[in-house]
Amino acid sequence: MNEAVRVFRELQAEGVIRQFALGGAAALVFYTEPVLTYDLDFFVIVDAPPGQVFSMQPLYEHLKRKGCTIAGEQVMIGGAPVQVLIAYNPLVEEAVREACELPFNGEHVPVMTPEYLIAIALQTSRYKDRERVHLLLEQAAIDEAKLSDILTRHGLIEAWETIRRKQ
Amino acid sequence: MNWDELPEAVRRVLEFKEARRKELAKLPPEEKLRIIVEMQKWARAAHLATGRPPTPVWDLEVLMQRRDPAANG
Repeated sequence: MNEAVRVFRELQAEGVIRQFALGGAAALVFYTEPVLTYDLDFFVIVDAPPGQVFSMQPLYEHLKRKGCTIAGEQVMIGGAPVQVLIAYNPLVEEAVREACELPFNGEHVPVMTPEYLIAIALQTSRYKDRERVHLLLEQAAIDEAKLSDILTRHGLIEAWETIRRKQ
Repeated sequence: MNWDELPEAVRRVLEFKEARRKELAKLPPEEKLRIIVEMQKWARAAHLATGRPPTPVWDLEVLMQRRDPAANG
């Protein structure tokens, strides 16, 4: 994890990416009981003209130059497969921008906050995402005003109410 | 069937499991990562035992390595 963060900070310093943050199931280690996962999801913001399809290739080339191994869509960095995901919509982009630097193994890792993890899970809404919403609501300290603001602005109130009814 | 209708023994088991999950949630992230790696080992063993392709297991030692402790944070 530390090595992955170091590599992303270097990419940030070199201007290859603008910002990055840990999301997905691996981010849950900062808020809930551990959940089985096989990769570390790092979301990145890159400078790309609006509407233009961003190619991952230049990013992968930078990672290869840093000694990382590319296997399909995953990058092996420091003992774990890392999934590099471009912040694909305004919600995810905001989640990366608003990530918190949390202590991990003597260093700091930018991690998406639980409110954004809930909002993203509601948006993707696969079975495991809905499970994550319940887990976060049950075990993480949620700022309800902040969550409500995010859900309202990103059109997720209906999805939220549906999941709350099933709780 | 609601909670009150469950047999006492079942309720005790469920309460124990619930309490354990809450304890796990309070562990430091480094410890949770170690638990995830243990889960990965079990998952891999189960996959192999049932004739499915092996699933990945993180290299915990490498995962927790810090190259330059002074450079971050």
